[in-house]
Amino acid sequence: MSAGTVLLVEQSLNGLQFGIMLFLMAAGLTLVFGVMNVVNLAHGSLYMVGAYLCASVFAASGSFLLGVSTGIAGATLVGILFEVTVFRRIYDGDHLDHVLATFGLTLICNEVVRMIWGPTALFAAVPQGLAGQVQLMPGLSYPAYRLAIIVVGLMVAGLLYVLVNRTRLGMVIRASASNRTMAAALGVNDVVLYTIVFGLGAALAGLSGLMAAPVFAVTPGMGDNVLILSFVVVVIGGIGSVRGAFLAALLIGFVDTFGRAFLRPLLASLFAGNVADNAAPAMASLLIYALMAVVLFFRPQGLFPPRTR
Amino acid sequence: MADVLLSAQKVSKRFGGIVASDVIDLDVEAGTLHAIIGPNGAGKTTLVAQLSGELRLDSGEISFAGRDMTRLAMHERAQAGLVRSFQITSVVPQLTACENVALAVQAHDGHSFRCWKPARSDASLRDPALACLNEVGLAAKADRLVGSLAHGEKRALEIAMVLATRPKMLLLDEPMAGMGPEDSARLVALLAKLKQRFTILLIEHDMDAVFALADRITVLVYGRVMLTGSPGDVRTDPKVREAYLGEGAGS
Amino acid sequence: MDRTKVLAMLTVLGLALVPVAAWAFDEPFWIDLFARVAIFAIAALSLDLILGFAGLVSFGHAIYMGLGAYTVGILSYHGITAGLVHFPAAIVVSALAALMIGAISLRTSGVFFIMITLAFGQMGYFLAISINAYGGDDGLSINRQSDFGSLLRLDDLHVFYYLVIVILAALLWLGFRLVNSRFGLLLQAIRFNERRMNALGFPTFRYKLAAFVISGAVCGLAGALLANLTLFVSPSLMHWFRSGELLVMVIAGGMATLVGPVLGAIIYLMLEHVLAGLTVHWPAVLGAILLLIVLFGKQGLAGILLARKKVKEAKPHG
Repeated sequence: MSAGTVLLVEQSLNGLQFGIMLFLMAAGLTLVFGVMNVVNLAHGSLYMVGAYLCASVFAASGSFLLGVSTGIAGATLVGILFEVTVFRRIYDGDHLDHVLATFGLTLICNEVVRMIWGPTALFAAVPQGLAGQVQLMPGLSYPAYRLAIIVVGLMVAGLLYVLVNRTRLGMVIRASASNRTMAAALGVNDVVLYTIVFGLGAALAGLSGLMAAPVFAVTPGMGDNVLILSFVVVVIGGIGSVRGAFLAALLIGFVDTFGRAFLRPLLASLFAGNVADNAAPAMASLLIYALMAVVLFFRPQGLFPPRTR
Repeated sequence: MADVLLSAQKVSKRFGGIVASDVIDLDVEAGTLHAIIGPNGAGKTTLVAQLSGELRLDSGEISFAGRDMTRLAMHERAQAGLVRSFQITSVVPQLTACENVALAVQAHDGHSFRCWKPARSDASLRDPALACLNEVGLAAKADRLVGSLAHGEKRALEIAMVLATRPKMLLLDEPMAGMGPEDSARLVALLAKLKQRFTILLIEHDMDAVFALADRITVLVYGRVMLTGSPGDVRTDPKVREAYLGEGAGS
Repeated sequence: MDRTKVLAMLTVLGLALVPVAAWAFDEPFWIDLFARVAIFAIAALSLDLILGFAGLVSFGHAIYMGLGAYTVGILSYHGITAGLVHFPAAIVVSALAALMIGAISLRTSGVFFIMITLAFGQMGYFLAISINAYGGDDGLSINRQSDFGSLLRLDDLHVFYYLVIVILAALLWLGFRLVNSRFGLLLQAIRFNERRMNALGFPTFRYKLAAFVISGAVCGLAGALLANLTLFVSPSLMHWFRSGELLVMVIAGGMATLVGPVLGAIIYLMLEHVLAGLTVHWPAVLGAILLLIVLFGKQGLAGILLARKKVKEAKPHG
C-alpha cells in the first residue's frame, strides 16, 4: 500500500467524520427553519452545552454512557427551555427579531458556561474502550474514537431519515415545512410540534458537540464556528432539506479537510520558495466559502431545495 | 386587421404535476381592450406572471411590439412598455400618493442613482406624478399618506402608477378586486377613458365590467384557451355558458 | 427642519463637547472612549443605510471594518505611511469586498441573505487568522498613525478626535441627503415591496448592490479610523460577534433614522464600558438586554425620542 493511498484514505475518513458532525448540527438547524421559519443562532450553544455536560459528567462519574445521556438530555432541555421562553414569542416576528434574540441567547450561554467552568479549555477524555487505534489496512491505523463518531453519526442520519420519511411525526414535519396551512388543516398542534422539533434539533446539536469534545477544544464559544459552518451547509444544501443538509455536510467536510491536507503540498510542487507556506493556509480557509459562493451563484436556492407542494 | 402589439405563442407552464398554462396562444391588437376571463384556477394569474416576466416559460414565445421578449426580465419588459398592476394592492404605505407615483415616473426616466437632490421636491418627478393622479381622480389626495387612503383610492393609485411609467400597454390584474359597486363604476369609466389611448389587457372577475369594456375576450379554462372572440361571440357560445358562465350569467 | 435632523445636530454637538468635559472633569480617557464611540457610530450608520432603509439584514458587516483596518495595518507594515494612500485604499478594498459579497448574497433574500453574509463575514475572520505574515491570530501592530504631514497630525488625540467627529457629521449630512433623494426613496420602496418596483421597470438588484457597496465602503472608512486609534489590528475585529454588535447598535438606537445608530453606538459602548467595570461576564448582561429589546420594544431610542406621529396625521411633504 503506497503512502499516498494511505494518506488519501486517512484524510477521507477525517473528512467524513467532520462532515457527519456538521450534518448533526445542520439537520437541527434546517428542521427548525423548515418547520418554524426561524433562524437559530443559539444552535451553537446547544452544541456547547452537550460537550460541557458530557465531558464533566464523564470526568466526575467515570461513566461515558452517563456523560453521553446527560449531554443529550441537557442540550434537549436547554433547547426546550429556549423554545418555551423565547422562541414562542418571536415566531411571528421577522428574521431580524430571530437573529437578535438568538444572538442574545448565545451571549448569555457563553457567559454562563464561562461562569460555571471557567474561561479555559476543559479536558474531554476519550472513553477507555475507544482510546486505541484500529488497524484499517497495512500502514494505516485510525483512532477508534473517530471511527465511532462516523458509525454513530451514520446511524443517527439513518434514524433521522426513517423518522422524517416513514413516521407520522415525520409526515407532519414535512407537511409543515412545505405548507403551513395544510399542516394546520391536518390538525397539527403547532405548540407541541414546535417544541418537539426544537427538542429534536437540540438533541442532535448536543450529540454533535459531545462527540466533538475529545477531538476539538471544549471552550466557551466552541459552538460558534461550527454554527457558521453549519449555516454554510444549510445554505448549500437548500434550507429545510435534511437530505440536502446531509449531502452538503459531507461535501463541506471533504472539501475543508482535503484543502487543509493537500493544498500545501500541491502549491509546494507548483511554486518555488515559501509561497506554499504562506498561501496554502489562507486558501484552505477560503475554500468552503468559495464553494458556497459558486453554488449560490448558479443555484441561489441551494443544491437540493425541498420540494414544495 | 390591426397590428398585433402583444403576442403569446404556445405558452406553457407546469408546477410539478399541475399544468397551470397549457399551450396558450394570445394576440392582443394595438388599440384594443382585450379581456381574459375564466373561473378560479383557470391559470389567469399564471398567465399574467408569464407575460410580465415574473415566471419563466417552460415553452413558448412572447413578443411585444415586434420584439421577442421571451427571455427578458420583469423590469426589462416594463421598460419596453408592458407594465402590470397587481391584484393585491402593493403601493408603499409609508409614502404619500404623489411619492408613490413619482417612483413610477422615476422608473421611466431612469435617473435613480441620483443621491443628492431631494426627490420629494423635484418638479420633474412631481409634475408628471400629479398629472397621473389627476387622470385617475386622485389629485386632491396627492399629499396624503397611502396608508390613509380608502381601498378604491388605492386601486386607482395602482393604475396611476402604471400610467406614470408611460407604458405602451397596460396589464391590469383584477383591478376591481374587492371593490364596492360605486367604486367599480368609477373605475369602469376610467378604463373606458384610458382605452382610447392605451392597449389594455384586462384580467377581471367582474363580468359586467368586462362586457362593458372589452373589444375582445379570451376565455381560459383549466389553463387552456377555450375561446377568443367578440363579447357577443363569448356571450352566446354554448360551451362558455356551460363551462363557466352558468345559467343567466353575463346578462 | 425636522426633528430627526435636530436630534442629529444635538448628538454631534454633544460629541464635539466631550473633550471639553474630559478636560473639566480631568478624565482624559473619555476622549479615547468617545473616539471609539464615534468610529463605531460611523460603522453603525453605514449598516443602517442597508438595514434600515433597504431592509437588508447583513450579519457580516464587521468584515468591512476589519478590511479597512487591515488595509492600514498592512500598508504600514510594508512601510507605506501616507494617509492619502491609507484611507482611499481602505475604502476601495472594503468597497470591492462589498461588491463581491453583495453580488453573491443579494441573489438571495431573507434568511439565506442573513446566513450568507454571516458566513462571508466569518470568512474574513478565518482568513486573517490564517495569514501568519500579518500576525495571524496575534494581530498586527502599527508603528504610527497615517501620515498627513504637519497639516493634520493624527498622533495628537484631540486632532484625531475632531477629525472623526467631522467625518461623522459629514456622513450624517450626506446620509440625510441620500435617503431623501431618488435613490434613497427607491431603496425604501424596495424594502417595502421589491416585486412592485421590479414591475415598474426598476432593475432592483443594481440599486441594492449599489447601496451595499456604499455601506461597505463607509464601514471600511470606519475601520481605517479604528486602526489609527488603536494602532493595532487583529482578526477579532471581524468576528461575527462584532457584526452582531453593529446590528445591536442600529436596533437599539433606532433603524432607518441615521441618528439612531449614532445614539446606539453611544449607548452600547458606554454600557459595555460600565458593565465591563462591574463584571467580567458583561456579555451576558448585554445578551439579556438584547432579548428584552426584541421581546418588548424595537423602535429604538431614536424612536422614543422622536415619538413619531401616527401615520394618519403626518404632514404633507412639500
